[in-house]
Amino acid sequence: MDEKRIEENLNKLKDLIPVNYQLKESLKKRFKRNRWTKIGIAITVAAAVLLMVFSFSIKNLQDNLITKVNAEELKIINQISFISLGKINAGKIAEYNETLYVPLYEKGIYKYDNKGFEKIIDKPAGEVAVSPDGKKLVFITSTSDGKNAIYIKDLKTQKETKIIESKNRDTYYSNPGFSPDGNKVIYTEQIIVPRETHGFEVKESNINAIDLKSLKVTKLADGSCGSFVKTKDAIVFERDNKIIYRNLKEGSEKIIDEGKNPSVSPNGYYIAYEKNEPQKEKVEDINVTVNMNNIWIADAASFTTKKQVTLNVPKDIPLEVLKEKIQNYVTSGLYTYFWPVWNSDSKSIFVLKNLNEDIRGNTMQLMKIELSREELTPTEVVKKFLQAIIIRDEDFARVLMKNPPTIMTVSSPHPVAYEILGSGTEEGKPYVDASLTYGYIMNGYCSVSKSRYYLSPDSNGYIIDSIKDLGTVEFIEKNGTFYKIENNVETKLFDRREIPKEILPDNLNTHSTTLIYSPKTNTIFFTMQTNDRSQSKIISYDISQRAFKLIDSLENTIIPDIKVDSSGKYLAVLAYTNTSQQSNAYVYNLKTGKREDLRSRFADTKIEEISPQFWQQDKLIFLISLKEGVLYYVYDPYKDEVLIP
Amino acid sequence: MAESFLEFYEKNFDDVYRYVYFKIGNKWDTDDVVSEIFKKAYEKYKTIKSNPRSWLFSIAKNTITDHYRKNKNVTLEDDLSSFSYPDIFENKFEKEAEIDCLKKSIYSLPKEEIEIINLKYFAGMTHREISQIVEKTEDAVKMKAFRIIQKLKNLVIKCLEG
Repeated sequence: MDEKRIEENLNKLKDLIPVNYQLKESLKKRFKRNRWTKIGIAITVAAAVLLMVFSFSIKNLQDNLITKVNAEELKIINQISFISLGKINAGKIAEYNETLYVPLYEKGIYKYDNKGFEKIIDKPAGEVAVSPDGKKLVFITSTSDGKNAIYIKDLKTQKETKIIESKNRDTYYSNPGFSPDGNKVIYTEQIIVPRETHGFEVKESNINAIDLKSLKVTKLADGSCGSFVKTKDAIVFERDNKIIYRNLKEGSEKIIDEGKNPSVSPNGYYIAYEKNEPQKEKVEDINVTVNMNNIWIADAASFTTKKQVTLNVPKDIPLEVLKEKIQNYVTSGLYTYFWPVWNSDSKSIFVLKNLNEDIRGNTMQLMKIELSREELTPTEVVKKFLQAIIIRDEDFARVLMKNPPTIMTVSSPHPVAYEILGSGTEEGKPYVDASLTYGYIMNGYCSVSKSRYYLSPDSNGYIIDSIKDLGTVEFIEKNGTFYKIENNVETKLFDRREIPKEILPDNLNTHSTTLIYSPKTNTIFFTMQTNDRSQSKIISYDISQRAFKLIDSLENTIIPDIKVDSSGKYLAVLAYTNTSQQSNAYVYNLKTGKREDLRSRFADTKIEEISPQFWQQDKLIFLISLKEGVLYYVYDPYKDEVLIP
Repeated sequence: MAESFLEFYEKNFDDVYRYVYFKIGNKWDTDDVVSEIFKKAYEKYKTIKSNPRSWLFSIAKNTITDHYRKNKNVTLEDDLSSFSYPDIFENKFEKEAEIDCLKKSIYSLPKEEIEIINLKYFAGMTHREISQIVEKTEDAVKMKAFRIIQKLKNLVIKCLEG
C-alpha cells in the first residue's frame, strides 16, 4: 500500500459517481434553443408544451360522496397530472374548494383558480396549508436575518401575522397544518446542523402545536409531519420511516405502516402517505432490486386496511448493465411520488410526481388522484385510458390494463382527441369501441384510429384485457391537394382550385398549415395561409356534401394548430399574431360562427403563451404558460366557462 | 472568451455533476442543483475574463449551500452516513475491501479535507484551480493534498487490518 495506490483507488471511486448524461443532453438542448429566433421559440414552446401532460376530472361523479368505507374499498377513478412543474419549483401545496395554493419557494405563494395564477404572498415559502373553513393560510418563511417563522394569512383582510419565530438559524419549521377546529396550528420543529460537505444532521425533531389565541406552544410527540385527526384527540405523524397514530389523551402510540409524509384527510377517515418497498426480480440472470415508491392510503381510525393508489413501474435497465453481466443491480421506480395532500372534500389526493428520466424536458408534475366508492363502468375505464394516453400519464394507463406493454408513449404524430363510438358484449365479454385522433403541429396531416377495447371485471371495476385494431383513416395535404387514405387506398378529396375564390385569400400564393378531421360530421378543417403571412383563412370541407365554408379570416396571423371537438360543433385554434408574436387561443362555435378569445379570460395574469391541448370530448383542455410555469385549464364551450382541472 | 459556452459546458459538465453528487448524495437533488449551476453560468458566462473553471466551481459551491438552505426539511438520515451511490457499485466491488475502506476513511476526514478530495479527484481540478476556490496558495493546496493522501493511506491500512 502506497500513496499511488490510494490515488488509483480514488480514481476508481470517481468512476463510481454516476453522471446523468440524459440531463447533460437535455440541458445542452435548452442552451442551444435560447439562440433560436423569436418565432421559433414561440412555436417550439407550443409544440413542446404539447408533449407535456395534463388531464382533468370527471364532473359527473359529483353525487358520489365518499361516506365512510375502509380504505381498501375505495376505487381509484381517475389520476390526472395537471401542472407541469418544469419551470416551477413548487413546494407542498394546499387546496380548498377548487382553489390551489402553490408555494414557489423564493417567489412566494400563488393562488391557482379559474381566474388565473396570482401571487398572494410575497414571502419565500416552501409549504402552505389552508384552514378547514378556507379563510386562513399558514405558511413557513424565513426572516431577513436568516431565522425561520410561521405566519398566518387572513385571506379576507389580507393581513399576515407572525405566530412564532425561531430562536436561531438552526431551528427550522416544517409541515404546518390547522387543527380541525381551526384554533391550533401543528408543525414540526427541527434543529438541523448542516454539514458543509455532505448532508445535514438532525439534532432534534419535535411535533408541536401552537394555540392561535394564546400563542402557547405544546409539544405533542417526537417525530415529524404531524396532522390532527378530526373528531379524535389524536395525531398521525412520522418517525423513523414509520407512520404512527398517537392517542394524545393516553399517550399511547400505534404503528400504522412503514412510510413517510403522512397526510390525514379533512374528514379524519384516511391517511395518505409515501411508501418505499424493494421489489426483487430477475432480468437475464441479473438480480434486480427496484426501490419502488408509491402512494398508499390507510384507515385513520380503525387501522384495518391499506390500499396502494399509484402504480409505479421500474426504470429501464441500461444496456451497459446488461452487457457487463453484473449480477446485482439496484434501480428505482420510473416515478417518484411525494408529498400527498388531501383536497378539502376528502375525495382526492394531490401528489407531486417526478419522472426519474430526463427525456421530456419537464419532469415534475402535480397529479390528482380521485377516489370513490363506485366502480368505473367499461366505458369510463376506456375514457380514462384514452385520456391517460393523450396526456401521457403512463402510470395511470397501466393501472387500467391487465398486461401493460413496456412502452406506451406515443410521439409524433401525437394523439389530440378521442371519441367513444359504442359499447356492447361479445360472447359475454364487455367491449367499448373508441377512436383516437392524431395530428401534427404545422403539418397538413391527421389520422383517426378505431379500436375495440375488451374488458374484464377487476377489483377497481373493470380492466382492459386486450385491444383490437379496427382500422385507420388518414387525411393528408400535398401541394394543395387533399387526400383521404383508407386501407392503403388514396382517394383525392379536392385540390385548391376547387375552393371557391371568395373563400381563398386575396393573394394566391398560399399554402396549408394544419388539418383536422371530425368523424362525427365527416368534415375536414384546414387553413390556407398566404406565403407572406399577411392573411390566414380557416376553412371547413364537408366530405359528404362536397361543400366548403369559410370559418374565419385572420390578418397577419399564423395558425399552427386547429382541433375539433368530438361532436364536431366547436373548433379550437392556436393563432400567432405575426407582428407581436403573441399566441392566442380561440374557440369557434361552428354553427353560429361566434369566436371566444380564451386569453381575454385571464385579465390579471401575465400570459407568455396560451394554446389549446386537446378535446376531452366536449371540453377543451388548454394551457397557459407564465414566467412561473405551465398551468392547465378546462374550457366548457356549452356553458362558456373556464375551470381548473 | 475564446471558448463558446457550449464547449465549456461539454467539457465541465461531468466534473461538476460528480462534485455535486458527491456532496449531495442523491440523483434527484443533484439534477436540480446542476441544472441551476449551469443556468447561472450560462447567464453570466460572457462577463468572465479568466479562470472560468474556478468561477464555475464557486457557483457550484454557492448553489449547493443555497440548496441546503432552501431544502432544510428534506433531510435523509441515510445520506449522512453512507456514500449514497446506487448499490450496484457496492455489489460490483464487494470483494474490494480496499475501496470500501477508502470510502470509510474519506468520511472520517474533516470536511475541508473531504472538500479537497472531492475537488481534486472527483471534479478533476488542478491545484491552481482549487487554490482559487479555497482561497489558499497553490503550494499550500499541493501540500495539503499530499498530506491528505498520506493520511488516507494510514487510515486504509488500519481499516484493512480490522
